[in-house]
Amino acid sequence: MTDTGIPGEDRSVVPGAVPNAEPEQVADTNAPAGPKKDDSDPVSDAISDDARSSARGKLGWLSITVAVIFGLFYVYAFFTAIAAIVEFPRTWSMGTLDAGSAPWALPIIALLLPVVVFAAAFWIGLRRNVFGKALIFILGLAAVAALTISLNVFEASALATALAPVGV
Amino acid sequence: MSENPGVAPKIPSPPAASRADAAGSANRVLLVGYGILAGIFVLYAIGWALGLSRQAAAEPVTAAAAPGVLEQFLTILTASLAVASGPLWFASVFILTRKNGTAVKLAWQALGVVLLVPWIFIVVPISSAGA
Repeated sequence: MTDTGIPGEDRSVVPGAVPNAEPEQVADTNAPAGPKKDDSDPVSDAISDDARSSARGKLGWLSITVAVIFGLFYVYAFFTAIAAIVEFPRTWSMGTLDAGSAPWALPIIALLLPVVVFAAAFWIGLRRNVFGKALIFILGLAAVAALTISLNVFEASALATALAPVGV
Repeated sequence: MSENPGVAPKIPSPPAASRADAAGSANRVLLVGYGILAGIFVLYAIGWALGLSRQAAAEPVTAAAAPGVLEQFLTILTASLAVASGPLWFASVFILTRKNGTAVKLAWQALGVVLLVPWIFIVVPISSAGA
């Protein structure tokens, strides 16, 4: 089961395709070549258990752990965005800046970004095994990092444009 | 004897040949597409690295005067992820869409091309340009 369960990210596996109630038994009959199948290491046991519940669209404890650990990084990005949006009106009300012209869309998008991307990564990875889930969470985190920096660049650019007449 | 007729009808079976042709052209499209995309994402990584280092040089201490270890680590992690985002997107989408069709593969890759543009490199800070 460990060999058959891990590498394929079984999106195509239909839940309930195996009529047998016990997948372990199916694995044993499918792989008679492995005589010492039952004493595989606990790590791959955990991974294959998790892959089996993922194929059914459910979350094993390993998947939940992975989601929570990566979730912490998304939470950090979210708190950073909160700090930025708190700072935002103060920045845009300094000097002779017209506060009404502040590009509010930028910090709002930055605030929504970690939440939306985490939800999307969670949903896309729902049926994949734990490695696929982790890869999608890392990719989402990289996308959040890049997009947040880009939004900051746009805001800095807008700020510089707004301040330019004052400086001249 | 029975094998010869099996081998011979190579010529009078155009549907199989055209199907193979179609699959071949799809593969060629995918191959060329992957070549272009890989080039774009490598350029993105270079752009991110140059842009971030330019920003770091322009404002040496952007964070608080004495950022904690955790904050420093997470700042570096964020910058590293941004630099790696392009190649990471290419490789991840390549792996994750193995079982999907050409259109789906290229659509996901195209999304990365749109999202991960290194604006930090492209947008020249106006304040420094004006000053």
